[in-house]
Amino acid sequence: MNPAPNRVDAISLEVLRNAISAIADEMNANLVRTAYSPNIKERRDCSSAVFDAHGQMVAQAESIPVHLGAMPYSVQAAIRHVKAFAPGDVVVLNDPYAGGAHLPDITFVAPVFMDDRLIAFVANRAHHADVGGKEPGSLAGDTVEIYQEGLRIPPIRLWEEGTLHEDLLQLILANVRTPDERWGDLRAQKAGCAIGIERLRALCLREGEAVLADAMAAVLDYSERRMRHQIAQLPDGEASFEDALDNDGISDDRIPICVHVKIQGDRIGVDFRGTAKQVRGPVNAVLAVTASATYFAIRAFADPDIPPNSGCFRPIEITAAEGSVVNACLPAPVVGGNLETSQRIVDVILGALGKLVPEQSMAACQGSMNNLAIGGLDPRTEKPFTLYETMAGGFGGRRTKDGIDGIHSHMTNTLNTPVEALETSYPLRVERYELRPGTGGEGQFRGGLGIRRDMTCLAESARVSFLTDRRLTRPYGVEGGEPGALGRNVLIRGGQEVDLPSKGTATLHQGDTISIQTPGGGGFGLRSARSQASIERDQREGRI
Amino acid sequence: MAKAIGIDIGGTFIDLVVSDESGLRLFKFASTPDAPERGVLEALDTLISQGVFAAAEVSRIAHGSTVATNALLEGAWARTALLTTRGFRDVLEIGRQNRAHLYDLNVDRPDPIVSRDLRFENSERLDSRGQVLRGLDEAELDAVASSLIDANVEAVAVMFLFSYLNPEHERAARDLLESKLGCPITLSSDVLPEFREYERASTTAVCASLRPVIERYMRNLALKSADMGIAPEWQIMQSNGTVISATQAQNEPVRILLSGPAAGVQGAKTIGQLTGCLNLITMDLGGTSCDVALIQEGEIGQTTTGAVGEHPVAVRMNEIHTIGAGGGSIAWIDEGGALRVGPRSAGAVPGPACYGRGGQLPTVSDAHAVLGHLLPDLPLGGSLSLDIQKAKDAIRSIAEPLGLSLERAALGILNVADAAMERAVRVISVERGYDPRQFSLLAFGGAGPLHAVSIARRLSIPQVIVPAAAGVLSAMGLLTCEVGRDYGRSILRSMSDLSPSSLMDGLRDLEARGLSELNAEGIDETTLRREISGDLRYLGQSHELNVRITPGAGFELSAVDIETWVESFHNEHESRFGHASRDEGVELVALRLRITAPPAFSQPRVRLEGQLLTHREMPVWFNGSGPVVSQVIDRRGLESQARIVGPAVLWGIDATLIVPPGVEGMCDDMGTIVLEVA
Repeated sequence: MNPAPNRVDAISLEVLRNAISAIADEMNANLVRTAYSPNIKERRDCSSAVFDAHGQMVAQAESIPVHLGAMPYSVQAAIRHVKAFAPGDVVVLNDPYAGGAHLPDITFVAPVFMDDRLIAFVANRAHHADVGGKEPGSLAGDTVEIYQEGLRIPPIRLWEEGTLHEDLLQLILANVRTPDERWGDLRAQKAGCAIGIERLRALCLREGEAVLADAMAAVLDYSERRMRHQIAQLPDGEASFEDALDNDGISDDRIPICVHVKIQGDRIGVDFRGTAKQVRGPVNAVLAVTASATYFAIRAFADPDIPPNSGCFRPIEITAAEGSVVNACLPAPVVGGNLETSQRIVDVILGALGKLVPEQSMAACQGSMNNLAIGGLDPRTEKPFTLYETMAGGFGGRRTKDGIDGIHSHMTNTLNTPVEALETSYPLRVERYELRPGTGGEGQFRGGLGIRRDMTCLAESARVSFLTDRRLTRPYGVEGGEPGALGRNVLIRGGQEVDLPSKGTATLHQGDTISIQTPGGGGFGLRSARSQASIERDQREGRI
Repeated sequence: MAKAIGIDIGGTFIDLVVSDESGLRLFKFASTPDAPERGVLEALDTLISQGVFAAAEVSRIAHGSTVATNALLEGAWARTALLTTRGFRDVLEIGRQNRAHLYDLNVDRPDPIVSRDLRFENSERLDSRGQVLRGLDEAELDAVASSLIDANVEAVAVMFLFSYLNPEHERAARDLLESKLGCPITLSSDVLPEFREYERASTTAVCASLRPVIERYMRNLALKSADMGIAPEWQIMQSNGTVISATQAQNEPVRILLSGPAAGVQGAKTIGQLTGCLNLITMDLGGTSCDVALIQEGEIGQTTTGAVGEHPVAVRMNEIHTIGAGGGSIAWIDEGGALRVGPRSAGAVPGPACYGRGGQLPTVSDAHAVLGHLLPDLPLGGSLSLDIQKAKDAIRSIAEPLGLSLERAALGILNVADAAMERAVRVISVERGYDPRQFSLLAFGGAGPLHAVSIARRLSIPQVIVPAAAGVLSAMGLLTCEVGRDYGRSILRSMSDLSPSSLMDGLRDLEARGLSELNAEGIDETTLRREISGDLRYLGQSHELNVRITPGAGFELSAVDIETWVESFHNEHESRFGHASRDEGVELVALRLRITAPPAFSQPRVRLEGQLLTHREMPVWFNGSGPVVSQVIDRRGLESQARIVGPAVLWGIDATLIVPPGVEGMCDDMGTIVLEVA
C-alpha cells in the first residue's frame, strides 16, 4: 500500500493520531469520573470528541455509537449560531432542530485558541436523566410536539469568555426536575471540555500550529482512505430492504423504514426512499440521528477498526426526504428517534448490505433499547427521584455462531444499574433479572435471548414512561432462520397481568410491578442444520 | 548463611533471585508453561546442585505466579456451581449488559465461570438495608445439595443480594452445604463484602473456581520442595503487592491473579525508596507487553475495578495498565498508508528477525538493532546473539515503500511504538488526574531501558531511573514487599450520620479478622501497621475515591479525624478532577483496613559475576540525529557516583539502557542509574 500522500508522513500520522485520540479519551474519562448522575457514572451514557477549526470531527472517545456521527452536527450548529468565538466560550445545546439529537442529550462545544487564533474545538455529549417536559425522565412515549418533551436549548454561550451566565443557568435548572444533579453533570461536562482545551494547547505548543492543523487534516484523509479501501473490496450493486417500527405511541399504524443501498466503486449511497412521513408520536429522527445510525452500520460492516471521524463518513452519501420519519421537521417530537428509530435504521441498512454481501450477513438484533423512566417522590428522603434505564436483549445470529444472550446491540452500549445500587437509591425493588428462555429466533445459529427485569414500586405512587419497540414486529432472521420473539411490557397489579403498549406512560401504585421483557435476536440459517451439541447444550442450560 | 529466594514465572523465563548479606544473585531459566511447577522445582534443584545455596540455608521463599491468571484465561478452572437469590441466576452472565467491542458485529462474550445449568436459586431475599424479606429456604437448599452432588461439582460460590450488609443467609447456606458436600464453598460476603452484585458474583465465582486449581499447584510445590529439604512455607505475591502464605492463597486465589506484575511494581517501589524518589511512573516492557503503574508518595496506586479475561475481579489490586507493545511488536503499513506497530507480536518464537530463529517480519527489536542500540557480538538475555543483517532485511520491508533510509524507518518504528506507550502512561497518569512532570519514570523489563528516555521526553518527565536488576525486578520485588492483608465492608451512609464509635466498631471487626489471620502465619503482632481508608464520594455521585485517614491517636478515630478525612476527600477530588464541592454531603461507601508487616529484606546490591566488557566506541542513531559516536559501557562495572554522559549505550546481561546526547546522570552505590532528562 502506498504511504500517506500529503505533507504529514506515515510516522507523524500515526503518532499524532494517537495523541489526539488520547485527548478525547481523557476528556471522557474525566467526564465519567466527575459526573453526578448514575446515568453518566454507572451507565456511561456520554461521549467526547475533538474537532478541527472547521468543525470536522477528528477523534472520538468510543462509548456510545449513537453519539458518533451526530456530534459534528452540534459543532456545525454552534459555529453557525455563535459566529465569533472568544477564548473561554462554552456553547451548550440540546435542540434537535439546531444540532442536537433529542432533548436529554445535552452537548457542550468549546473553541480552542492559541492567542487569538482558533485552532480546534472540543465537545462532549451526555444523556441527562431529566430535562423537564411532561413526564419524569423526559422520555414520554405519547407526546405530539417537541414542546412537551422538555426544555429546548438552542446553541447558547453558557460561559462567555470564561464567565458563567448565572441567569441562563437558573433558567435551565428551573425547568428540570432534579436541578442539583443536573448542575453536577453540567459542571462535569464543562470540566471535560477544560481538560480537552488544555491538552490540545499543550500538543500545539509541542508540535506547532501548522503541524497540528496538517495532522488533523491528514487524520481525516487517512480514515477516508481506509473507508474507501474497504468499500472498494465490496462488490458493486444495489439492494433494498424494508422493516418497520411497531407504532408511534399515538396511533396503531406500523411505520415503514425503507432503504435503498448502492455500492459503487469506493462509495456507498444510502437512500431512505419509501420511508414513512414524519409521525405524530415521538419516534421521529432528525437527520443527525439518521446519519449516525448509517455511519455506525457501514463502519461496523466495512471495518470496525477504522478510526471514527468525519473523514470516514465522506464516502457515504445519505438521501433522506425532509419531513420523513428519518429527517423530521419542527415541531415533531423526537425523543425516541435517537433511541428506537436509530436501531431500525441499522437493521434495514445491515439487511440491505447482507443481500449485497451474503457472506457477511447476520440476523437482526433485538432492535430496541427498551427505554424505561420511573419518577416520583422517594418516601425515604421526600425528594423527587428519576431512574432511567435501557435494557439489553438478544443479539442476532451470525454466519458462524449464535447471537449473544442478553446484551446491548448496535446504537447503544450503556451499562445497567446494579440491582443493589438501584434499590439503595430508588424506592423500587427488583424482583427478577434473568434471561427469557426460548426467545431467540431458531436457526442453524439461533438468535440471542431477551431478558426480563421486573421492578416493584415501593413509593406511594410513581409515573413510569416506556419507549420500546419490537412488541409487534419481530426481529428478522436470515438465510432461513426464524425471527426473534417479541418483547412485552406488562403491569402486574394484585397478581393480574395487564399488557401495556410499546410506548406510553402509566401510574404505578405501591406494590405494582412493571415487567419489561425484551425481544430475542433473529436466527441465522435453517433450524434443521443446527448441531446436536448446540441443541443439547441449550436444553441442558434451559435456554430453549 | 540464610538465603531468601524470590521466584517469578513469566511467559518465557523463570526469573530467580537469591539474596543474602553479600548481595543479590540473578538467574534466568526457561519456563515450562505445560507444568509451571516443574520448571520452578528444576530451577531450585539446579542451583542446589551447582552449590549456589544449600536447601537448609533457605530462610524464606517467595513466589510470583501466573498460574491463577492462566487458568482463568484458558478456561481451565474447576467445575463450579453458584447459589444465588431467586430471580438472579443470570446476573453472572448478563453482567453489565454491554459488549466489549462496540462496532464488531462478530463480537463474543466470554463463557461465564459457571454454566447456566449449575446456577441455582434460593427464595431468600434481603432488602437494601440488609433486613430479611424472605428467610433462607432450607428445603430448597437440600434439593440443591443433592443436585450438586449429582453434578460432581468441585467448588461452590454463594452470592445473595445485599449479603454485604447481612451475611447470615450466606453463612447458613454454607453450613448446610458443607455438611453434605466435600468441596470448598466460597461466600461473596467473605471475598468481597461490597455492593454491585455482578462484580461481587464474578469475583466470588472466580475465587471459588480457582481454589481447587491453586490448591493442587501449591501442594505439589510444597511437597516437592520439602523433599529437597527447603523448610519454610512458600509465600505468594498478591495482586495488591503484599505476600501471603501459600495456605491463605489457596483459600482466596482471587487475590493472586496479578501476582507477577504486582511484584515488578513492588520491586520498582523499593528501588524508588532507596533512591529517594517517592513519586514514580513504572514501565515494565518485555517482549510482548508493556505494564505501566503509578506510585505516589511511595504508595502504589490501587484499583478495585480490575478484570482478568473480561471477568471482573473487584478485590483491591495494584493498578496496572497493560498494552500489547514490546520488543516483539511487528511493524506494518496499513491500507490507509500509516505506519503501525503491533498489536501482532513475533513473540518468543520465532521472535524478532535479529534473533535468527526464523522470524522475518520487522519488529521493534529489529529497529533497535539497526540503529546500534543492541550490539551484535554481545549476548542478550545471557546467551542469545544478534544477527544485524537479518534485522536490516526485515526493516527494509518498511523503509522501501516509505522511501526512507533503513535508519529513518527504524527511528519511525520506535516513534510509533513510543506513541502507544506514551498513551498507556497517559491512561494511568493524566486520565487519573496526575501530572507526569511531578514523577520519575522507572523503567525495567528486558526492553524498558531502551525506551525510557524517549518516553520520559514525550511526557516531560524530568527523571529516568533504571535499576541494576532491571531485567529481573519482579523476582527482586518478591523479597522486598510487605506481608499484608486488605479487609473492607460496605457502609453506604452519609459521613455526617457516622460516629467515631460506630466506625471503630466496624474497624475492630476487620482488625480482629486480620490479626487472627496474620497470627496464624506466625507474624509478630507488635510489628504490624494498620492503614485505614474509605471509599468516599459526594452524595448522589456514584464514583468513589479511596482516601486514607491517619488517626491522631493510634488506632482510634475521633470526630476531628473524621472532619480531616472529609477535607482530604475534597482536596483529593479537587486535585484529581479539578473541582470540589465543599458544601455538599459526603458519603462513606466502604470502610477499608490494610494490615501489613514490614519486609525482612535489606540488600538490593547485585553481585558481579564473570568478566567485564572493555569500553569501546561505536556509531549509534538517536531520535532526531544521524549516527553519533557513542560510548559502549558495561554497566556492571560502573562505580558508585560514576557520571554518565550521553551519547552512550549501557550494556547489561538482562537489559540495555540507551542514553541519547544531551542526557546526563549518575550511578549510585546500588548500581541504580538516575538520568536527568532536560
